[in-house]
Amino acid sequence: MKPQKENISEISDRQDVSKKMVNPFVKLIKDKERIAKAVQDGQPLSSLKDIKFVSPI
Amino acid sequence: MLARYDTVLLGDGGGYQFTTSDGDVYIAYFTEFTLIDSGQNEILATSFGFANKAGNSGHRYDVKIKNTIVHLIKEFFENQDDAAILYICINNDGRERNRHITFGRWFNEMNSEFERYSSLGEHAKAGFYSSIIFKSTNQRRLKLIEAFYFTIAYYWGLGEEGQ
Repeated sequence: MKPQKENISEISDRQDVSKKMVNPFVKLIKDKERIAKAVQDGQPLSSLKDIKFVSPI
Repeated sequence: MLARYDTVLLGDGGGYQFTTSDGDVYIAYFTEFTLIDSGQNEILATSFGFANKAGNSGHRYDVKIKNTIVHLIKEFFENQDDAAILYICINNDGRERNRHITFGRWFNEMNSEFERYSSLGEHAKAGFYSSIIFKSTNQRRLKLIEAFYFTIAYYWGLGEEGQ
């Protein structure tokens, strides 16, 4: 069955996954720490590069 | 309607801001998160988090903070039936378990329209707490559950680069 194009993309094999993706949980933990610091420092979140914010609406 | 704080959508679209009656300023945000399933497909989800400018977890219990966070999560799902929100409690202060329990309690106070799945006990022993929530009617429901647990298992014990 072909996956939904906008939500799912096929990847050739397991090794390719690890090459293409950083550990998403480790990245999220680091992102949360960077965001917390930016909030404390009053910096706009948009200044944080390589964090993809999702518009809530 | 439950009492909550007014929220302001940030100008850069990265999240919402609200200020408590104690003057604490909170930013709630959503970011992209990619799960993988056993078929090596990438499954897009959204992570949710919030932080306050004072850098602490609040001076006293304030039910309006909880109501505001729950409102924002529910609002996120209003027009996105097939969305999924992932939440992770980071272990930067030894209170990650408490935050995980608190988040679970907040979820339980939401209505039965949603389902929540959490990381396992073996992960908790290592200080890792994560949950994924989505509507029970989500057409990707089974795929999200499988991908959530597969992604944790796949990367468990691996470093940042997944190697």
